[in-house]
This record gives sequence, C-alpha cells and structure tokens, in this order.
Amino acid sequence: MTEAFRPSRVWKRELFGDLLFVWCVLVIAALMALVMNLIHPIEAIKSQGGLLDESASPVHGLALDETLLIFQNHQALFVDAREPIFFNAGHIPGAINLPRNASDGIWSLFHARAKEGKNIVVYCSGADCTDAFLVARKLAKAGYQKVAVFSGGWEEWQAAGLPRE
Amino acid sequence: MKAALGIINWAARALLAAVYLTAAAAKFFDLTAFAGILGSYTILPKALAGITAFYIPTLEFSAAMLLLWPKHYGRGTLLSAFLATMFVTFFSWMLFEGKHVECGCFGRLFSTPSPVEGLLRAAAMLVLSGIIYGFSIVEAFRRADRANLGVGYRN
Repeated sequence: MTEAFRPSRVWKRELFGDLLFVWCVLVIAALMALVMNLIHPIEAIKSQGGLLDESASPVHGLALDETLLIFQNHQALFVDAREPIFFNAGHIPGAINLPRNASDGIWSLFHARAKEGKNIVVYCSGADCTDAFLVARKLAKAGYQKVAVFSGGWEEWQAAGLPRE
Repeated sequence: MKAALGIINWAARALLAAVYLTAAAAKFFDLTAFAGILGSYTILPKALAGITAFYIPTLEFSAAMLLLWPKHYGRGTLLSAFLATMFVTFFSWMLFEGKHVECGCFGRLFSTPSPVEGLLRAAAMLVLSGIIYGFSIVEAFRRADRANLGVGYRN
C-alpha cells in the first residue's frame, strides 16, 4: 500500500478541506448578513429601540389572574398579536388575530368587530415578545381607550393549562 | 449495488436540499417576521436578531446549493450538519425551558407547534447529513483508489 493510498490519510485530507471550506462559507455568510443589515436594516430591529420600553407606554399590563377573570366574565375582546401561522396553531378562545404588520383590510375587519368602548386585551407569544405592546399602542392611537396587554402571553396561558382554541 | 447507492445518495441530497431551500425561501420572503421571532427568544441579544435573521437563511440556501453540486456535496453535508446541530440545540433548549412557541423554521408556510416535532426533524436532518457525508468519503476513497491505479485524481 503506497502513502497516497492510506485510507486514514485520504479521510483526514478530505475532512480538513471540507471543514475549511465550510468555515469560509460561515464567515462569508456572516459578513453578508452584517453588510445587508447595514445597507437595509430589518424593520423589526429598527423599531425596537423606544417602542419596547414598557414604561413609555400608556398601555396597562395584566397578570394571568387578572386576565383570566376578564376572560371568564367576557369583559374584553382578546387580540392575538402573533403571526397568523402561530395564531392558527392555537390561541385564546374567541381571540381575534391582529398581527403587528396587519394589512388595512385586516384592520377594517377588526374595527367592524370591535365594539366602541369595549375592553381590549392584547397578547403575543410570551413575556419576552413585544408585538402585543406595539399592537396595543396602535389600537390606542386608533382611538380605543381601554386597551391592556396580557404580559405573560400565550406561553403563560398554555403553561397554566387554560382553554385554547 | 453501486447504481442503487448512487440513486439513494442523490435522493437523500435532493430531499435535504429541498428542505433547506423551502426554509430559506420562506424566511427570505418575510425577514421582518423572522427577525421578530428571533428577537422574542432570550437566546440572542435583540440587536443581533436582524443579522441572524439574514444569516440563517443564507446558510440554508448555501447548504442546499452545495448539496446539489456534485463536486461539493460533501461540504454541503457538513454545513447541513452544522445547521442541524444548531437546530437540535435550539429545540432541546426549548424543551428544557418548557417553551412551546413557534420556531418560524418555515416562515409562514408550515407551522412547528411542538418543540418535540422540531427536535425530531432536526435530528433526522443531522442523521441524513451524516449518511450523505459517508457517501462523499466513500467517493474520496474511490478517487484515491483510481489515482493509485494511475486513472487520475483531482487533487
């Protein structure tokens, strides 16, 4: 068996070359992502600066027990601020899907369904998500005065074993 | 036997490439939504969500292209293994934390409501990547074999 024919040598040479190539791809892709974000920052990141600061919001945050009481007494319209795909996978019974980037058509449907003066509780995926606050502020700007955010969101609702639809 | 293995190799690569292409296209279609999903997790600093939202589908697209490229498919499987390992780690973390939120793996196309489902899918992709890499190593041995016989060797 000659030197060039040693299986371990062939295997090592292939693996080393492949790993080096993959490393280059990882670095180039990272640089591309960085440059793309500098040229065209993704909207979600740009908007997060001040908007995610809850203290700057006039929107009231609700704990799970408060939210549950409101739900059981049918005192509010629930708004799910997550993307439709997440909403379709499961949501609070009776909730309306109104994502952050909802089209005008969806907003029109919402206005038609939401009754003047009714309480609105907005939630998103969990305590770390921000879409509920963004949508709640849009609702407040649109003239809805009794808007609150269920801070724990869908994650806390599910963890508590509460009903889902 | 050799022809059958060749067909299996091609089918496995095409399957894996199709998964990555679909995932990348779905994410590129709505990068803002994917950045929002990434930002909602506590793994990454929120400032990195935008960069990662572009980085992951870029890697998925690269993996798909390399898998379909006969000369570089071994490298594609390594990239695929890297991505699958990342996904396995992510879903394991979700299970450990008891989180049941959507991963956004396929954008708005398909939902992955359960982390267990995501974990199994990622694990299957990792195993498939390993098998395909095995094929590429076997091919490397054959090339070395041919070179030893004086038929020619690319390196």
